[in-house]
Amino acid sequence: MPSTREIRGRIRSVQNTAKVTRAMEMIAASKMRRAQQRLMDSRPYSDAMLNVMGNLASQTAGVDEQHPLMTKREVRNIQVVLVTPDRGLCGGLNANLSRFFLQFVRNQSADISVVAVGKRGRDFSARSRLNIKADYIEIGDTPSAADIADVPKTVIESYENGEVDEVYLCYSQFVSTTVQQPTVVKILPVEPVELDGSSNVDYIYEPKAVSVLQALVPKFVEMQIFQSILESIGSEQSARMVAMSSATDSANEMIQDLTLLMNKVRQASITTELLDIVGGVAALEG
Amino acid sequence: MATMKLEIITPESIIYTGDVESVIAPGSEGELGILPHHASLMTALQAGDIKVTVNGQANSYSVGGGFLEVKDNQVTILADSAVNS
Repeated sequence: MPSTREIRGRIRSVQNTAKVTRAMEMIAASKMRRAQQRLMDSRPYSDAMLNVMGNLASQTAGVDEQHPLMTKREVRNIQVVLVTPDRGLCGGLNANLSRFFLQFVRNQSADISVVAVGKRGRDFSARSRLNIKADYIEIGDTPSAADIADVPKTVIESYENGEVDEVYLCYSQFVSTTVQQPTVVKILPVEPVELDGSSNVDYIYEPKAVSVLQALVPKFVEMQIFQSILESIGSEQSARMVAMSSATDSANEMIQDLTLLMNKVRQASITTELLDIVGGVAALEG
Repeated sequence: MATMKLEIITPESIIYTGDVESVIAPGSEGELGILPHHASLMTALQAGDIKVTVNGQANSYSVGGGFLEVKDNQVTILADSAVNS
């Protein structure tokens, strides 16, 4: 049996852990609210862009000169943009995403290179001996579109100069505070979005539909990558909040169990001492 | 006076939304002015100032490139970045 002193020490250490996890939970909660807000704020832009893209694509469908980023090629090399958090301590989020990503990679017959956004993804890809083309780490909790502009630039460049024939985006989609879904989507070549007939408008294009499309397609890729990074940050913070909240709960439970044990041990030692004294007195009297 | 709806949207937030009387924007082919009931139009924008008239008052926003869409008396500006200037 451990002594009461040992148990008291353990209680104190668990209490300290609980304090830390509680603080992390609260920080994650406030960051999560921010991240969610940013996600909501970016939606009007992406919705409007999708609309415009769909309209343009249907207008330019018959045109011969296709945009280089929309031309399909035979797939020999694939690039995956892997968006992950920089840090751990967020429950199963990273493990789930890594497993999902690896599964995806294994199912491809083409050669794969990785553009890692976030430390976790970079380290994971390195451990899995994948070819890392570029990495972007420590982008922070509130990156602006300009902060991450290098990522789409790299990707578009390697697509344009023929290094890769398809580009995928892999990230944790933010479904709700408790649910984050590992997702992979193809971002290059850009596939025209199908629109329902109602929003199809006859536009006047300035200068020409094709040249507007030229300018729009790279923006579209940028927007998708930015969106996925926002999703990933939202997922990270909410996963961390949930993980830290359950860690705080288990710590409190442990403190209760340990306190109970400590009381029992103390009681036992008092009983033994009493028995000793009673035994001693009995011996003297006898 | 007739008005139309204007929205200036960036990837990060909505910069402006409201009813306006006119918009002058830096199109890729030169400045273009839009008044209410303009035909549907779509153009790329270069970096420059967007001048907006609301109740006879002129306002200006700096944008760093983007797109402009006019549809059903509604002007949507998708800007890479925008600030009220």
